[in-house]
Amino acid sequence: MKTRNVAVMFVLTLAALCGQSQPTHSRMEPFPTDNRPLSGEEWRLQLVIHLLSLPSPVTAGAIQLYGMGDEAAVDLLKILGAKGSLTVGESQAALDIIHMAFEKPTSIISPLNQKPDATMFLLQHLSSTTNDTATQQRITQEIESVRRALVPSATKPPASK
Amino acid sequence: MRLKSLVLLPVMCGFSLHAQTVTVTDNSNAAISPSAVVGDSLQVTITGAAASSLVTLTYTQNGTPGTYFAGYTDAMGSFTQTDPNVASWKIGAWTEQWDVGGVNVGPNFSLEVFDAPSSLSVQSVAATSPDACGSSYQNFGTKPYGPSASIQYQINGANGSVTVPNTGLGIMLEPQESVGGGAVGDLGCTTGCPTGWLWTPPSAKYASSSGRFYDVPVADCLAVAFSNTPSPVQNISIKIGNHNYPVRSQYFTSSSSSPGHGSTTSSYGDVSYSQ
Repeated sequence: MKTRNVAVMFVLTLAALCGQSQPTHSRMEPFPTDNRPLSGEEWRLQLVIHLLSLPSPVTAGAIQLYGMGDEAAVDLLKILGAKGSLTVGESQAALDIIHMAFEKPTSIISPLNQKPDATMFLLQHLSSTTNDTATQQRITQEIESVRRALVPSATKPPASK
Repeated sequence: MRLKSLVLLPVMCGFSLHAQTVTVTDNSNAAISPSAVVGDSLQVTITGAAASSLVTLTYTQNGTPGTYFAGYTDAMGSFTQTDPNVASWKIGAWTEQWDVGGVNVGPNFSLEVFDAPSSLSVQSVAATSPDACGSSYQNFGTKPYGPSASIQYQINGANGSVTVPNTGLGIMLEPQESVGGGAVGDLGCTTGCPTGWLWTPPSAKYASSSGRFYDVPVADCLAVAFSNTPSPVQNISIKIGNHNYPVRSQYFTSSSSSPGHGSTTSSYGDVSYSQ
């Protein structure tokens, strides 16, 4: 009986030791990530989401934003729809993004995105929802900036010189 | 008769009555089009332009202007040209204006060619705060033995730097990992980190604009002392758009003789940490 108990204890001890012989990594697996292929629109939305998280003034991402035009505001509206509201810092970053998206209107790739419909809607929405004076002034400046940028190109066919 | 000639003139000159379009597509990674990574297949397609006419690209590369005579449109006013393997000398920020027969086609658009991530170098190794072993994270409260490190890496391109000023691709470098042959997922998190996430700076979803990121915590935790124990293999890749670039495959050998203490060494030998 005693021998049997000793044998059982030996097996249990061995099992315990075997179970602990491999260190358990603190993070055995990566963070769960949706790795489904992104379309161009989805990738640019991810870019805008990331840019919105950066402190203003946002200067990165200019090359992609130059080609987006009104698509940038569409993406910002999607983010706004999901979040409900933007912080003051995010609002400033959003204005930086819009500024770059219309900084070179002749670079906007899709003719559909040359008209700032979503941009104006977003700017008016931001204007009506912020009490921050600096943000209000910035919105006014961006509205003028977008209007000025589009006066020549909006009336020209895309292929014209 | 004169009116008829005027009507026929555009047809004789090959002018198209359709809209002229230019599309630049990265066949290897369409989501990031018209930008591309070195080695990708980049294709330009023009439709609806003048037939049998010279196709010219006027460009700037990092601000330096140039002109490239690409060829001729076909009888339908179409043109396609593919660069099957974008070369490293094209790295940089570009503007492109295509024209056919002297008429601009499409916008004067911007793109970038980015170096392909190819390796990582270790920038720093430090203790995590708090120590992962013995912490409340993932039930490690009962496992105080082992090292717990934070490693900062620099992403290196095959041709040198991975950074291009003011780019989108350069701030969308997404470090990913697979451990022990498991699923591929993000190495870091910015938002939505797992419950109980304890460490700062967090290993963010994207590398910094200078191509650096943290892997935190790198820890082997156990309830008892252990020595020279190898970890599963960690394969690290950098995701750009929809493409993953493998940059490092390693394992760590760890030891610990007492709670709160331990050491670990990477299989490359460039991480040697003890606490």
